[in-house]
Amino acid sequence: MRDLKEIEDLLRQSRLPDTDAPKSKGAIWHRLIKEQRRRRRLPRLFWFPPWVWALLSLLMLAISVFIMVTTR
Amino acid sequence: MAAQKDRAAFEAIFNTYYTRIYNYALRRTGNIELTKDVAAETFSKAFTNIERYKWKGVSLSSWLYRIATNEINQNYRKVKRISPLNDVLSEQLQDGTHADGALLNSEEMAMQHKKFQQMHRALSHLKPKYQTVLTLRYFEEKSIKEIAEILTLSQNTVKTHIRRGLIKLRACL
Repeated sequence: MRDLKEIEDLLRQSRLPDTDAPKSKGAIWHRLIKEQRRRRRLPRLFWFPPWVWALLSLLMLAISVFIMVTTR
Repeated sequence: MAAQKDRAAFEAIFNTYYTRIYNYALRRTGNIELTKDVAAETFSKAFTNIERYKWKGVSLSSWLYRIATNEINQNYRKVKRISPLNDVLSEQLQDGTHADGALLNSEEMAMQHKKFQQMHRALSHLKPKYQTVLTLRYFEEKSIKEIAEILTLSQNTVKTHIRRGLIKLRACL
């Protein structure tokens, strides 16, 4: 059975050479810019971070429970 | 004005790190289309959350690698399902340029590609956490410290994952 050093060497030898990927770079940059423009157009409401939504949900839940208890 | 400033700053980040993230995604997924998606999604998330990035001993490079790793792992099922690698070689042959300066001829590249293909096939049998550490360590040539930073693990855990990954990989080869 091969020892681990051999497996390490095999991995190093199998490394795919780096590519500059010039073709995709420009396309992806344009895709990012387009996406950012689209995001900027979204209403401010959707910009809240997830924890704000979580907090709001908990608050709603608390209010619902409070109403349920007090209206019995 | 502020948006333009942000854009210029982000363009600089994109130009600096795009190649590294692209190559990392390519080595993990072995598929050009998926690599492009991962790279685009990584920079898109970085662009959106750049305000949340604060220097806490974590470099920008590690932060980007972390986002890319999460993206790849989220696409893990897709990575397994697709028939990989067929388009990698042809794209690289067309490009003919290599970021590391090693301009290989097509025969050498085909040979290297074949080796990579065999290794990628073996790696694909491992759990994503082992694929990640082995790719970062041996393909991306990252130090244990850097890998720990990227994966938010301790250095000892990274060493353990590498060792276990190598043992599992040995069984697949």
